[in-house]
Amino acid sequence: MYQEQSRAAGESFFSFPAVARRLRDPLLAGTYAATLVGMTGMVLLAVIGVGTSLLMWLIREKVSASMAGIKYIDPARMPFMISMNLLEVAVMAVVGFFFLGHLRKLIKSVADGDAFGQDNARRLTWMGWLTLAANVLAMNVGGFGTWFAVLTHPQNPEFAANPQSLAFNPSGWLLALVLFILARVFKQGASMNLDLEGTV
Amino acid sequence: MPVIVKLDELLARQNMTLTQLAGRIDITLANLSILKTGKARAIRFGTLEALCRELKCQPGDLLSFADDDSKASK
Repeated sequence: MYQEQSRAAGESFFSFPAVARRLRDPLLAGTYAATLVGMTGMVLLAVIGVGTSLLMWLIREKVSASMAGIKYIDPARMPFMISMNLLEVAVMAVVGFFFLGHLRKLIKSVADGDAFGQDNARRLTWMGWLTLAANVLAMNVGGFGTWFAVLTHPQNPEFAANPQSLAFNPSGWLLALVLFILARVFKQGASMNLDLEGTV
Repeated sequence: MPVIVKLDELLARQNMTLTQLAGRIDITLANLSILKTGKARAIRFGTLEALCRELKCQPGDLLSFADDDSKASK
């Protein structure tokens, strides 16, 4: 019944009120709303990332000139490096958009009363791969950010104490592992659910 | 499926409709219909117990096994 209702309502991005009504769980309804806000934010971040990357390339000569004289920095290469990193931020935003999209559909499946399905197992696997991709990108962007910050602000005690702070986030890798394990749990749950179908 | 559910027979014997039976036991009409038409893949002991109680029969009266080979030879 719920599945039919949800199909009638469609997979619309704006189906929040109907889904929240069916969820009857503040945590899930709140997270569903947060995913919608987050997805919008990711689109904006991607646009800003691409825009600033292009802008950096357009004003590359000014940027190079402002960096002349900083130790260990090649002013000629810096605009390209910053530009590429801003593009990477845009790619991270796209990864985040798809991650939140899968999370949104996962929550919606609870509202539809069809949580233990093969679709959710596939979604969790995708979320695991997206988390891995985000971690690799974050290491690169964070590493560059840390390197740049240390070189431009050598007196900052925070960077001196923990120069890897921006580059490595162990909880992100753990999240990917948890998602892959959950995907396998859901896969087994889906096949158990299938066994129960037709039981009177 | 070689296991046959003889719900029709037992309902007729008790002079009862499927809707009346569904009302007496905690099973939906849709699920009883699945059972009646032989589309069910499994039956819970609780369901079997409720059916036997209301239809005043034994599980063996409700279910019977027909080998596919013997069915084909008939």
